[in-house]
Amino acid sequence: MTDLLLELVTAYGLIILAGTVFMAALGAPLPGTVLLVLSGAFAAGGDMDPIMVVLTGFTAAIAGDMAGYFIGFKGGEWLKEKLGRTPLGKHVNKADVFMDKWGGVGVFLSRWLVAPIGPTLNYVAGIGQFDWRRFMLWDVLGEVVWVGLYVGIGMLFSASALALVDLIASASWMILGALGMYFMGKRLMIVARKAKA
Amino acid sequence: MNKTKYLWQKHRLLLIGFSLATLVTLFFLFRFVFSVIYWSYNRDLPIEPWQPLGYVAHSHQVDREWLMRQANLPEGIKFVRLTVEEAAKIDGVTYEEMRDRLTAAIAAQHAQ
Repeated sequence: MTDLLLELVTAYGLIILAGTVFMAALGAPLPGTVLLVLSGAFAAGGDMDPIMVVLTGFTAAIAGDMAGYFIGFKGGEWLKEKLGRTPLGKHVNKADVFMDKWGGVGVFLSRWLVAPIGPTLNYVAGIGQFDWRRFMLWDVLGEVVWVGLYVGIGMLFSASALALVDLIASASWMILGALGMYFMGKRLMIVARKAKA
Repeated sequence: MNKTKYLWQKHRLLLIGFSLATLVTLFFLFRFVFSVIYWSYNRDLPIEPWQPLGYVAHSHQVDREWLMRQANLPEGIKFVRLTVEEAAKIDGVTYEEMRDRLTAAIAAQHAQ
Protein backbone atom coordinates (compact mmCIF):
# COMPACT_ATOMS: atom_id res chain seq x y z
CA MET A 1 0.00 0.00 0.00
CA THR A 2 2.76 2.44 0.97
CA ASP A 3 4.75 1.56 -2.17
CA LEU A 4 1.73 2.28 -4.34
CA LEU A 5 1.20 5.63 -2.60
CA LEU A 6 4.89 6.51 -3.07
CA GLU A 7 4.49 5.97 -6.79
CA LEU A 8 1.21 7.90 -6.88
CA VAL A 9 2.63 10.90 -5.02
CA THR A 10 5.59 10.93 -7.40
CA ALA A 11 3.24 10.91 -10.40
CA TYR A 12 0.42 13.16 -9.17
CA GLY A 13 1.98 15.17 -6.33
CA LEU A 14 -0.09 17.39 -4.06
CA ILE A 15 -3.52 15.89 -4.77
CA ILE A 16 -2.39 12.46 -3.48
CA LEU A 17 -0.79 14.11 -0.44
CA ALA A 18 -4.05 15.96 0.31
CA GLY A 19 -6.26 12.88 -0.10
CA THR A 20 -4.02 10.66 2.04
CA VAL A 21 -3.64 13.18 4.88
CA PHE A 22 -7.40 13.86 4.88
CA MET A 23 -8.32 10.15 5.03
CA ALA A 24 -5.64 9.42 7.64
CA ALA A 25 -7.10 12.18 9.86
CA LEU A 26 -10.42 10.31 9.71
CA GLY A 27 -8.67 7.15 10.90
CA ALA A 28 -8.06 5.36 7.58
CA PRO A 29 -4.91 3.21 7.80
CA LEU A 30 -2.94 5.34 5.32
CA PRO A 31 0.62 6.66 5.76
CA GLY A 32 -0.15 10.39 5.93
CA THR A 33 3.02 11.15 7.87
CA VAL A 34 5.23 9.20 5.46
CA LEU A 35 3.86 11.09 2.46
CA LEU A 36 4.29 14.42 4.25
CA VAL A 37 7.96 13.62 4.96
CA LEU A 38 8.48 12.44 1.40
CA SER A 39 6.88 15.59 -0.01
CA GLY A 40 9.27 17.60 2.16
CA ALA A 41 12.17 15.62 0.70
CA PHE A 42 10.84 16.17 -2.84
CA ALA A 43 10.56 19.89 -2.11
CA ALA A 44 14.18 19.99 -0.96
CA GLY A 45 15.20 18.23 -4.18
CA GLY A 46 13.40 20.84 -6.29
CA ASP A 47 10.57 18.51 -7.33
CA MET A 48 7.77 20.17 -5.35
CA ASP A 49 7.01 23.67 -4.11
CA PRO A 50 7.75 23.71 -0.34
CA ILE A 51 5.11 26.35 0.40
CA MET A 52 2.46 24.36 -1.47
CA VAL A 53 3.48 21.18 0.40
CA VAL A 54 3.06 22.92 3.77
CA LEU A 55 -0.25 24.56 2.78
CA THR A 56 -1.67 21.35 1.30
CA GLY A 57 -0.65 19.17 4.28
CA PHE A 58 -2.00 21.72 6.73
CA THR A 59 -5.33 22.33 4.96
CA ALA A 60 -5.98 18.62 4.39
CA ALA A 61 -5.18 17.78 8.03
CA ILE A 62 -7.49 20.49 9.42
CA ALA A 63 -10.26 19.52 6.97
CA GLY A 64 -9.95 15.84 7.99
CA ASP A 65 -9.95 16.65 11.71
CA MET A 66 -12.97 18.94 11.42
CA ALA A 67 -14.80 16.32 9.32
CA GLY A 68 -14.12 13.73 12.05
CA TYR A 69 -15.34 16.18 14.68
CA PHE A 70 -18.63 16.85 12.85
CA ILE A 71 -19.22 13.16 12.13
CA GLY A 72 -18.77 12.59 15.89
CA PHE A 73 -21.05 15.53 16.68
CA LYS A 74 -23.91 14.32 14.49
CA GLY A 75 -23.32 10.64 15.25
CA GLY A 76 -23.16 11.35 18.98
CA GLU A 77 -26.57 13.06 18.97
CA TRP A 78 -28.03 10.08 17.17
CA LEU A 79 -26.34 7.64 19.60
CA LYS A 80 -27.61 9.53 22.64
CA GLU A 81 -31.13 9.51 21.25
CA LYS A 82 -31.03 5.78 20.43
CA LEU A 83 -29.23 4.53 23.52
CA GLY A 84 -30.74 6.99 25.98
CA ARG A 85 -30.53 5.62 29.49
CA THR A 86 -29.32 2.14 28.59
CA PRO A 87 -25.98 1.09 30.13
CA LEU A 88 -24.29 1.85 26.77
CA GLY A 89 -25.70 5.39 26.85
CA LYS A 90 -23.60 6.07 29.95
CA HIS A 91 -20.46 5.47 27.91
CA VAL A 92 -21.56 7.99 25.30
CA ASN A 93 -22.05 10.57 28.05
CA LYS A 94 -18.55 9.86 29.33
CA ALA A 95 -17.19 11.61 26.22
CA ASP A 96 -18.36 14.97 27.66
CA VAL A 97 -16.58 14.32 30.96
CA PHE A 98 -13.43 13.17 29.17
CA MET A 99 -13.30 16.27 26.97
CA ASP A 100 -14.00 18.62 29.91
CA LYS A 101 -11.03 17.12 31.70
CA TRP A 102 -8.52 16.80 28.84
CA GLY A 103 -9.94 19.21 26.28
CA GLY A 104 -7.67 21.52 24.35
CA VAL A 105 -4.26 20.28 25.43
CA GLY A 106 -5.31 16.73 24.56
CA VAL A 107 -6.32 17.83 21.06
CA PHE A 108 -3.03 19.71 20.66
CA LEU A 109 -0.78 16.84 21.80
CA SER A 110 -2.69 14.18 19.86
CA ARG A 111 -1.89 16.02 16.61
CA TRP A 112 1.82 15.28 16.79
CA LEU A 113 3.16 13.88 20.08
CA VAL A 114 0.70 11.01 20.62
CA ALA A 115 -0.55 10.99 17.03
CA PRO A 116 -1.96 7.40 17.11
CA ILE A 117 -4.99 8.62 19.12
CA GLY A 118 -5.60 11.72 16.92
CA PRO A 119 -8.47 10.38 14.76
CA THR A 120 -10.24 8.83 17.78
CA LEU A 121 -10.00 12.09 19.69
CA ASN A 122 -11.62 13.97 16.76
CA TYR A 123 -14.69 11.74 17.05
CA VAL A 124 -14.71 11.84 20.87
CA ALA A 125 -14.52 15.67 20.83
CA GLY A 126 -17.52 15.75 18.47
CA ILE A 127 -19.52 13.23 20.51
CA GLY A 128 -18.71 15.15 23.71
CA GLN A 129 -19.91 18.36 21.96
CA PHE A 130 -16.65 20.09 22.83
CA ASP A 131 -16.86 23.74 21.68
CA TRP A 132 -15.90 23.59 18.00
CA ARG A 133 -14.03 26.93 18.05
CA ARG A 134 -11.82 25.70 20.88
CA PHE A 135 -11.33 22.40 19.07
CA MET A 136 -10.32 24.20 15.89
CA LEU A 137 -7.92 26.55 17.70
CA TRP A 138 -6.01 23.68 19.39
CA ASP A 139 -6.24 21.61 16.22
CA VAL A 140 -4.67 24.40 14.13
CA LEU A 141 -1.86 24.85 16.68
CA GLY A 142 -1.21 21.11 16.80
CA GLU A 143 -1.24 20.65 13.02
CA VAL A 144 1.19 23.56 12.59
CA VAL A 145 3.62 21.57 14.74
CA TRP A 146 2.86 18.29 12.91
CA VAL A 147 3.27 19.71 9.40
CA GLY A 148 6.29 21.83 10.32
CA LEU A 149 8.00 18.94 12.10
CA TYR A 150 7.57 16.34 9.36
CA VAL A 151 8.07 18.56 6.29
CA GLY A 152 11.18 19.88 8.08
CA ILE A 153 12.48 16.36 8.76
CA GLY A 154 11.88 15.43 5.11
CA MET A 155 13.71 18.50 3.84
CA LEU A 156 16.65 17.97 6.19
CA PHE A 157 17.18 14.23 5.96
CA SER A 158 15.72 13.23 2.58
CA ALA A 159 16.09 9.47 2.01
CA SER A 160 17.04 8.62 5.59
CA ALA A 161 14.01 10.62 6.80
CA LEU A 162 11.71 7.66 6.12
CA ALA A 163 13.61 5.55 8.68
CA LEU A 164 13.35 8.49 11.05
CA VAL A 165 9.54 8.44 10.72
CA ASP A 166 9.54 4.86 11.96
CA LEU A 167 11.60 5.93 14.93
CA ILE A 168 9.20 8.76 15.78
CA ALA A 169 6.17 6.47 15.42
CA SER A 170 7.73 4.08 17.96
CA ALA A 171 8.34 6.99 20.32
CA SER A 172 4.69 8.07 19.99
CA TRP A 173 3.38 4.63 20.92
CA MET A 174 5.89 4.40 23.75
CA ILE A 175 4.63 7.69 25.22
CA LEU A 176 1.04 6.50 24.83
CA GLY A 177 1.87 3.22 26.62
CA ALA A 178 3.69 5.07 29.40
CA LEU A 179 0.71 7.41 29.88
CA GLY A 180 -1.55 4.34 30.17
CA MET A 181 0.83 2.79 32.70
CA TYR A 182 0.90 6.01 34.72
CA PHE A 183 -2.87 6.50 34.98
CA MET A 184 -3.76 2.84 35.47
CA GLY A 185 -0.85 2.36 37.87
CA LYS A 186 -2.02 5.30 39.95
CA ARG A 187 -5.53 3.85 40.08
CA LEU A 188 -4.16 0.40 40.98
CA MET A 189 -2.21 1.87 43.87
CA ILE A 190 -5.32 3.62 45.19
CA VAL A 191 -7.46 0.47 45.11
CA ALA A 192 -4.63 -1.64 46.58
CA ARG A 193 -4.31 0.82 49.49
CA LYS A 194 -8.06 0.69 50.06
CA ALA A 195 -7.86 -3.10 50.22
CA LYS A 196 -5.37 -2.90 53.09
CA ALA A 197 -7.54 -0.54 55.13
CA MET B 1 -5.25 -12.85 50.59
CA ASN B 2 -2.30 -11.39 48.75
CA LYS B 3 -2.59 -8.10 46.96
CA THR B 4 -2.22 -9.34 43.36
CA LYS B 5 -4.91 -11.96 43.93
CA TYR B 6 -7.23 -9.34 45.40
CA LEU B 7 -6.65 -6.98 42.47
CA TRP B 8 -7.19 -9.82 40.00
CA GLN B 9 -10.54 -10.68 41.59
CA LYS B 10 -11.86 -7.18 42.17
CA HIS B 11 -10.19 -5.02 39.51
CA ARG B 12 -9.44 -7.45 36.72
CA LEU B 13 -9.92 -4.98 33.84
CA LEU B 14 -7.64 -2.42 35.44
CA LEU B 15 -4.93 -5.00 36.03
CA ILE B 16 -5.17 -6.32 32.44
CA GLY B 17 -5.12 -2.75 31.12
CA PHE B 18 -2.03 -1.91 33.14
CA SER B 19 -0.25 -5.08 31.95
CA LEU B 20 -1.13 -4.34 28.34
CA ALA B 21 0.14 -0.75 28.66
CA THR B 22 3.38 -2.10 30.12
CA LEU B 23 3.79 -4.55 27.23
CA VAL B 24 3.09 -1.85 24.63
CA THR B 25 5.59 0.49 26.29
CA LEU B 26 8.33 -2.15 26.45
CA PHE B 27 7.70 -3.34 22.89
CA PHE B 28 7.97 0.16 21.44
CA LEU B 29 10.93 0.98 23.66
CA PHE B 30 12.84 -1.92 22.07
CA ARG B 31 11.60 -0.96 18.62
CA PHE B 32 12.68 2.63 19.22
CA VAL B 33 16.19 1.63 20.32
CA PHE B 34 16.47 -0.75 17.37
CA SER B 35 15.36 2.01 14.94
CA VAL B 36 17.92 4.45 16.37
CA ILE B 37 20.72 1.93 15.83
CA TYR B 38 19.44 0.98 12.37
CA TRP B 39 19.05 4.62 11.36
CA SER B 40 22.53 5.62 12.45
CA TYR B 41 24.08 2.82 10.34
CA ASN B 42 21.87 3.15 7.25
CA ARG B 43 21.91 6.80 6.30
CA ASP B 44 22.93 6.08 2.67
CA LEU B 45 20.00 4.24 1.19
CA PRO B 46 20.21 2.71 -2.30
CA ILE B 47 18.53 4.24 -5.37
CA GLU B 48 15.04 2.85 -6.06
CA PRO B 49 12.96 2.97 -9.29
CA TRP B 50 10.27 5.32 -7.86
CA GLN B 51 12.71 7.97 -6.64
CA PRO B 52 12.71 11.26 -8.58
CA LEU B 53 16.15 12.44 -9.71
CA GLY B 54 15.94 15.61 -7.61
CA TYR B 55 15.27 13.46 -4.55
CA VAL B 56 18.22 11.20 -5.37
CA ALA B 57 20.43 14.27 -5.85
CA HIS B 58 19.36 15.83 -2.55
CA SER B 59 19.65 12.52 -0.65
CA HIS B 60 23.23 12.01 -1.82
CA GLN B 61 24.21 15.67 -1.64
CA VAL B 62 25.02 16.17 -5.31
CA ASP B 63 23.78 18.91 -7.66
CA ARG B 64 20.40 18.22 -9.28
CA GLU B 65 21.36 19.54 -12.73
CA TRP B 66 24.64 17.62 -12.62
CA LEU B 67 22.76 14.38 -11.89
CA MET B 68 20.34 15.10 -14.76
CA ARG B 69 23.35 15.35 -17.10
CA GLN B 70 24.68 12.01 -15.78
CA ALA B 71 21.31 10.48 -16.66
CA ASN B 72 21.85 11.76 -20.21
CA LEU B 73 18.57 13.68 -20.24
CA PRO B 74 17.89 16.12 -23.09
CA GLU B 75 18.90 19.64 -22.01
CA GLY B 76 16.54 22.60 -21.97
CA ILE B 77 13.50 20.63 -20.78
CA LYS B 78 12.34 21.06 -17.19
CA PHE B 79 11.55 17.64 -15.73
CA VAL B 80 9.41 17.57 -12.59
CA ARG B 81 9.50 14.47 -10.35
CA LEU B 82 11.05 12.45 -13.18
CA THR B 83 11.85 9.05 -11.64
CA VAL B 84 15.01 6.98 -12.16
CA GLU B 85 12.87 4.42 -13.99
CA GLU B 86 11.45 7.07 -16.37
CA ALA B 87 14.92 8.55 -16.94
CA ALA B 88 16.13 5.07 -17.98
CA LYS B 89 13.26 4.80 -20.47
CA ILE B 90 14.06 8.22 -22.00
CA ASP B 91 17.74 7.25 -22.34
CA GLY B 92 16.81 3.87 -23.83
CA VAL B 93 18.57 1.77 -21.16
CA THR B 94 17.26 -0.62 -18.51
CA TYR B 95 16.50 0.62 -15.00
CA GLU B 96 19.42 -1.43 -13.61
CA GLU B 97 21.87 0.19 -16.02
CA MET B 98 20.65 3.66 -15.09
CA ARG B 99 20.80 2.87 -11.33
CA ASP B 100 24.36 1.54 -11.63
CA ARG B 101 25.46 4.52 -13.73
CA LEU B 102 24.05 7.05 -11.26
CA THR B 103 25.40 5.16 -8.23
CA ALA B 104 28.88 5.06 -9.79
CA ALA B 105 28.74 8.75 -10.78
CA ILE B 106 27.68 9.77 -7.26
CA ALA B 107 30.44 7.63 -5.72
CA ALA B 108 33.03 9.21 -8.06
CA GLN B 109 31.75 12.69 -7.19
CA HIS B 110 31.98 11.94 -3.44
CA ALA B 111 35.51 10.56 -3.86
CA GLN B 112 36.70 13.86 -5.35
